[in-house]
Amino acid sequence: MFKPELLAPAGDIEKLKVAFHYGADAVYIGGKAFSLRARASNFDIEDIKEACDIAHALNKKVYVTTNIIPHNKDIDGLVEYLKALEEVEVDAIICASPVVIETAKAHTNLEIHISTQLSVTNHLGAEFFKDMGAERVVMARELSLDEIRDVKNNSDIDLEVFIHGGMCVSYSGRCTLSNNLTDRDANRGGCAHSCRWNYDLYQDDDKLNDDISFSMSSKDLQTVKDISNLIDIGVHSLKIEGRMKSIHYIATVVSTYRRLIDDICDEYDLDLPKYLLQIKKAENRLTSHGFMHGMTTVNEQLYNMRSENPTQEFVGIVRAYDKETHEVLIEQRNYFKDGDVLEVFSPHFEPLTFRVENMTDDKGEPLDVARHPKQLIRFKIPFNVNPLDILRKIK
Amino acid sequence: MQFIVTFHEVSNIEKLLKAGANGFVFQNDLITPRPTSSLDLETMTEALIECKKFDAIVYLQATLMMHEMHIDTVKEFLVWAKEQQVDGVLFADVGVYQLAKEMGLEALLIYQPGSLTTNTYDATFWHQMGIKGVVVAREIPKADILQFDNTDFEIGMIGHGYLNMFHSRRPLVTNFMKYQDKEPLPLNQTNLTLIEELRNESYKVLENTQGTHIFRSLPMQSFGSIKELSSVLDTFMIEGLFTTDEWVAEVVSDYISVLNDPTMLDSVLEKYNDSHDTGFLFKETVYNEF
Repeated sequence: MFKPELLAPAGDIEKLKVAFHYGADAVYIGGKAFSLRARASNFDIEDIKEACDIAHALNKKVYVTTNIIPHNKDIDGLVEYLKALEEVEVDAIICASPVVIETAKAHTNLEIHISTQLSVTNHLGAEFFKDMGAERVVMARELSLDEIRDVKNNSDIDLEVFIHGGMCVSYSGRCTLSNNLTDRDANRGGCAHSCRWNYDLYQDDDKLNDDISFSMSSKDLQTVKDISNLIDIGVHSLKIEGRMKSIHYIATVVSTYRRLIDDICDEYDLDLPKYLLQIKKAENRLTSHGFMHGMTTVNEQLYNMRSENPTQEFVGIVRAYDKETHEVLIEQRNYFKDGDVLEVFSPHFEPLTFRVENMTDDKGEPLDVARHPKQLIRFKIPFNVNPLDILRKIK
Repeated sequence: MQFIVTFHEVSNIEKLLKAGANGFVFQNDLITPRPTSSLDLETMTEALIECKKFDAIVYLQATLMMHEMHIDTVKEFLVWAKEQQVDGVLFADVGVYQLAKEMGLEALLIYQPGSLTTNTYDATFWHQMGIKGVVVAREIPKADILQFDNTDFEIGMIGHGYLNMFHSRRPLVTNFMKYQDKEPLPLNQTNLTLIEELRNESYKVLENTQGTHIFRSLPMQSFGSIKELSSVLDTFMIEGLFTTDEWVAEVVSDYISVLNDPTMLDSVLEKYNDSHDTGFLFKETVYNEF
């Protein structure tokens, strides 16, 4: 059985380390130029080099998004940028425009992946990009499992499929809602998510909505029950969305899919409720299977921006642990206090709980509460933990 | 520059030609996401005969987002286009290019993805792929359009009418009515609008078999720029959706008046200014500066 790559988002170096720690095989990151998600904390070339060095030391990969739809004035510096990406040894670039693809081919040997911005929906489109020299196509999020299977059966280019996270409700790359409503160019990283705003629906002068606003907004994608089928189809890479998501989200989602993929490929009996329960701990929006089972219904839509709070709160991340003294050094992320019961979430063992006692700051001064973000704090944990393990407060 | 229009009735072809139209976009709801009028192949053949009588240009619009289940249908229309020797086939999905290439039809293709044709480098790429032309993206300003200056490759623009700004595969209106426990609306209702809670604008919304489409609040007009645009454009397209053939005929006639006599501009603009805007012709979008 072919084990697909688990591909995670990384908005910064720390998220990249967390994604790898929790089991991602590869991450995708955005550079300062030519990348969508302008508000994500994008990487400069030095950061990208550091990312590649970290990844390659772990035998993992880094893909860089170069997926804007450029206007003429945006092209300046493209050759130099792509050469710089090659020099720092990125494993692939993710492209959405012929000018970026052709420039990369002419000036570098960078591996080319086709972005979901190009909404490839059929095997002929996949073949087109294979003929252009691409190694991989990220399929449109509008495809069902059957459609993905048809593409795979009729094309031998590697397929990448989104398995989790936010979804454009429009065909990606074709939407100018944000351009029109806010003057922000969705295809150059400025999407204002106008599809998630509230609207009233009228037929002539009659308002068709009562207490509820019309929204195009979709639930987030969650495909725990579909991973076996995607592996069976032979999808090469399973992709998690969310370069702007938190460390806790990345750790939880990556860890869940890592265990699920491993368990499927190791042919273990699957306890799907266990994975669903685990992934729910990071959800902050309702989820659905998107188009995986065919045309979406009312169940895949999100009205009144219904949301769910994650069932567990991320309060700190382990920076160091002394196995002799059991003392842990953590970096605070959210409020907690002496006496709270916390859970350690680690890729190496099932979640374990302990009670916080005798907290001090990093200079040894006693603390009753941890209230300062990024404050370094010490206390004891009675079992072994590892750097980058996460501490969560059970609500 | 040729004026290419969409139309509602085959019987109005002659009237539109007399008003100044040079050609027509043939549409069918199986292959066209938002047709002004859906013609079956038999009607298309009759319309084509009518057009050829007057040496009018005929483009087939196959700009759907093509899923696997659509491939055979698209092929059927491409076979028709080849047999009938249409002048061009508009496409938005590179899979259609691949299909047309297999049929030796790529020289007829015109790339019209709506949003992706934003730079001249990509136009050059498509030129080298052996197709006939591109239609520029609807969200780029006039200054950018004027850079698409290519003498042996067709450059087009949709410059007048209701322009689409959103296309989802999802049946968003149907789903919403169901969520409210209300009766579903029939498809293809042209009298539905959305009003955003903070904006005093309404946006036409249309649900059909290809999904849900949302349109700009006002139809676009390009009268003040038509002279300049005509220096680079080979085709200027007028979208007739949500209007009538009579309206399209009047619009074409007004463009020709302005082109022939620039002093007509003010009086023409007086007619359109309140009910139309100029799209992105004079509007720059930002992306990392907010």
